[in-house]
Amino acid sequence: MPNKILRVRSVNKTVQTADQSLTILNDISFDLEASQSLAIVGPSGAGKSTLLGLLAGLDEPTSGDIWMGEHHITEMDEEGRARVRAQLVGFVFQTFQLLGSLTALENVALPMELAGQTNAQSRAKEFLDKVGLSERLSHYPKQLSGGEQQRVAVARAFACAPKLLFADEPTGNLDQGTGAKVSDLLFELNEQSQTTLVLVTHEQRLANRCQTIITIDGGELTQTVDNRKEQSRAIA
Amino acid sequence: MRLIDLKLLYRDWRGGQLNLVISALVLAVTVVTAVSLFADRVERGILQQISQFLAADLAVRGGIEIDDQYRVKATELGLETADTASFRSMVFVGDKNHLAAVKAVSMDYPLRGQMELTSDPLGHNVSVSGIGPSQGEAWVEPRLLTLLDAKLGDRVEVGYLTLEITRLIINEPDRGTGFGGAGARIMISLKDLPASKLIRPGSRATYRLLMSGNESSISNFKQWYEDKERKEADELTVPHYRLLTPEGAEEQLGETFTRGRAFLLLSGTIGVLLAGLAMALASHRYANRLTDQVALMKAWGQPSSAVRRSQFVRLLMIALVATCLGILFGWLAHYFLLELAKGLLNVELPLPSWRPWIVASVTGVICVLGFALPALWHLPAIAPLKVLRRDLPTSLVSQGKRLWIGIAALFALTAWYSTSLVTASLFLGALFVLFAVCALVALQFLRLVKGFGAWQGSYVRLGLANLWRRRAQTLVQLVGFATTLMLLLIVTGMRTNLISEWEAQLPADTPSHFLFNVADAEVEGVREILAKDSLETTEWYPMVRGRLTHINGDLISKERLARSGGLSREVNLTQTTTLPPSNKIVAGSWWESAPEKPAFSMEEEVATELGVTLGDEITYSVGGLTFSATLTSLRSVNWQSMNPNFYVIFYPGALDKYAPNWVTAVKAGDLVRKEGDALTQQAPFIKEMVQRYPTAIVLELTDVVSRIRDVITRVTQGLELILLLVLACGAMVLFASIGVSFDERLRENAILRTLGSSKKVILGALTVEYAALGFVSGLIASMGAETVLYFVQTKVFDLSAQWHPSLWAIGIFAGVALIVLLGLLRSREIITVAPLESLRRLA
Repeated sequence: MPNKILRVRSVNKTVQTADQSLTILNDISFDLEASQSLAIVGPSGAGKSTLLGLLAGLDEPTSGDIWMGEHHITEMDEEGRARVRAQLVGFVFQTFQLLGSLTALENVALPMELAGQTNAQSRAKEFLDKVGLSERLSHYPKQLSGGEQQRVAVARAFACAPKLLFADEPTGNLDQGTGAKVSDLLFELNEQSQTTLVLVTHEQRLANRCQTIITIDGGELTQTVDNRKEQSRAIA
Repeated sequence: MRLIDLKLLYRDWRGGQLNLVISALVLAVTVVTAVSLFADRVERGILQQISQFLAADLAVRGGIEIDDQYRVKATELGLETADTASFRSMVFVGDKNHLAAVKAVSMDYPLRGQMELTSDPLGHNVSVSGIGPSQGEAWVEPRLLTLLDAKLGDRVEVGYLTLEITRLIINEPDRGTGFGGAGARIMISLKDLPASKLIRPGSRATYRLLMSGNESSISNFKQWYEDKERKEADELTVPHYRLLTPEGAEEQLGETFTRGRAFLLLSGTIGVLLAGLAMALASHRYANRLTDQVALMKAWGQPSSAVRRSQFVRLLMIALVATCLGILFGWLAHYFLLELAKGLLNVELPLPSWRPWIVASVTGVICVLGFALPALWHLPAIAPLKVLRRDLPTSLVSQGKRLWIGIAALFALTAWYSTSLVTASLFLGALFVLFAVCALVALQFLRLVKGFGAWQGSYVRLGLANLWRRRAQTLVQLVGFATTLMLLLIVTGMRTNLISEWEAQLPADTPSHFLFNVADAEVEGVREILAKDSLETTEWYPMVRGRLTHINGDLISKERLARSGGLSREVNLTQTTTLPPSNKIVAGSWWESAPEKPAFSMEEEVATELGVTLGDEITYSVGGLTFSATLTSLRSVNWQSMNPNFYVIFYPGALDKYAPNWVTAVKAGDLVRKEGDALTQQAPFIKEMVQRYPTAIVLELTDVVSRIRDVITRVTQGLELILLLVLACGAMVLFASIGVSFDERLRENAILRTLGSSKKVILGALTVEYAALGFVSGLIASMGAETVLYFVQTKVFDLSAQWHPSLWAIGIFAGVALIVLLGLLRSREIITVAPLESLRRLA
């Protein structure tokens, strides 16, 4: 029990449109152990990103419970969830979400500065070095390629030493080669820092690198694949 | 305050996101600081002078010599007294002359305050003196030496007197309120006055009996004076004398200042309004840019309160920095205003009070709260989920609400500036009506322009279509620019055109010189001198000064007199048998032969204001003596004729015993001369006349006109300076509103470029768009300015209306040039950035 970082129980999400209510997620339940990786796959519009938002505490389910570590986040208000996110969570986005007016170094340091960490700059440099961008510290996002921007975003996410890293289509905006490099980086750093990784992706190859894959279709969890067994079987 | 908030602010600024917000705020504060610093320093300078204004604790002032009973009472109460008499007169050194402001003072002058004098032509070594000049001495203002080409020790002729110039006056306690324009000052001893023969019955002079002493004696004198005035109210409604107290003068001027300051600040308010609009638009764009940042901050676990605090810290710092900069620039700009006002103001300017700084700072803070904060208010409420779902709606403060908050902020500022809710409401009401009219006219023009575009080539069509498609934005730009440009054109038009138009429309035989203060015995001699040069004059009129006291035996109340602006003080009275040329009888009849009883004719407007009709008997008081006459005719007077004209004309005989002075107007050639050479090109007859008859006064119309022109030029240049700052605010609006559609334009043009449009087409379309915008702005501005000038010409100056093609040319050219230049400057990125990068940047 103590090594379960995410527990999801009967989570539903419905939204009210003008004339009807629309079910986006229906009765989703699963657990995720710490330091594991989970891929959420499924067709477009299946509700993957909605689920990611709920797991990260960015949104509230209509019903159901989610625990992040020992925090029962579905019982908390936004301010409470914000405290938990500040403590545990990091993000990587499909559109990178770098701030255009900040240099690479400043982008990486920002969340640490906001959290009041004093070593933000040196740690940011260290992680930019890890992603191979130590020469581009003072470059602005518009001076970087897409792959480089995503590497900055990855550095930013890991520099904060989150317990849980949520990645939304991290390679979705990149070509295959660059995407592969970025995902290598993601898994490498994940391994090094023992972070729990939850990622939403379309790409089967990326999903296959995760220890668990869940498939969401039409708002329902249709399949759970434990890749650890598959992987060990493959090795055997 | 956390360091990170300041870091974020610095990075926003570095990224150029704050440029417009800050510049607009700086401009608003600059305008307000410049105007209020100027008003404050001038006001304080003048008020400071008032405290010494009387050179005494109390004074009795009159247009005739002060009756002895006042002196007797003052002495009885143990008050010290001194006397002054001020009037205008020609003074000479050699063959140079000048119409100077003469003040004759008794030895005890001044009773309060001190004279600052020097014997050094450069104005150094100033010493103070508590007594006036001795007999035989003349103390003069330094500029009189320049005007007369004289130096210390020279002899100056004042009337029939010759005096030695011994000292230069740097400052005197009661030189007045500082609004100059009169001649250079010269001070002589009161004992010399009779020998100068300058003052004779009917001469226009101001006498003052100055008094000083302990408080109780002063208040006793005041009490005695008021009791006496009340008693005499039954005998004489308009007293010949007035009691002057420092408080009274201050009170009267205080009101003038409040009004003047309000006027200046209200013109500055237009700048604040435009800057506010620019700020609101720029803040909206800034808020858009901050959306991602805030969503990220919240996803990383920053609570709303931290976001709100960060936002406040940033806005506070923006307000602080921009206000400081605005105050600095305003401080510099107010020196330009002071420089322009220098010739009009003759006061030493003290350091400003705290008020302008407060006005400037509060303006900065209110602008931020009213215009910037509403656009940013929603940020802390942004859902953290927006990092994943960018399409998630943000609950912006509605546009209507933001508009009302902005108007409320503006109203608060205007009401504060003008210290009147009514003025603020009227002013803002009028301004919004002006905006609405401009917007309506502009919309019609835009429709026309759109129609025109439909059958033009590709980029013209594209540019004009853009103008129409974003018409809300176009209208904001148009109205901002057109109104400012219009005000600027009006002010410039008045400065450059009105006086010359007035001059040009004067009839060819308009007199060029006016002769006053010519004694009975001198008239023949002056006629001879004029005849030698074959100069024509109008009729010679005898003139005495008097007041109206009774109508049909009833006292004229002060209120009734106050209704008639012309007759509320002493007026010039004359007598003649022939109706003056520019007069027309509109009721009753001009006397053909001697009437049985004394009769007079009155100007029709004054008669209406006073409420008198034909047959009424009116009592006049001249120098304390009274007589009555019957109103037998009403006249309309063409004041534009520049002939000697009178409100009241008697049948000859009525004024004989009052020893009148004579007045006439001389036609001595072309009125219009080059500016600045009035002194060197004096008409030849003047020299001989004033040398033979030194007490006569010659007034040159060119001098009067150039003095009026000077006042108008300075006032309008001051206003132009303020309006140029306001125009800069208009430019901010243009910049900010292009900013609003910037991303959209960037995307559209990237798509156009991708589809094969050349840079030239995009540049062409933008140029056409801005040129059309500038053309319509300039056209509306010129239309508005021409309309206002039409009313000023016909209603204020009684001139026939005239077109001002140059105004239209300037208006339209300035509109097109400014907007094309600024617009392309703001849009250069749209043209230069490669399409792929544009699209990537907007992804």
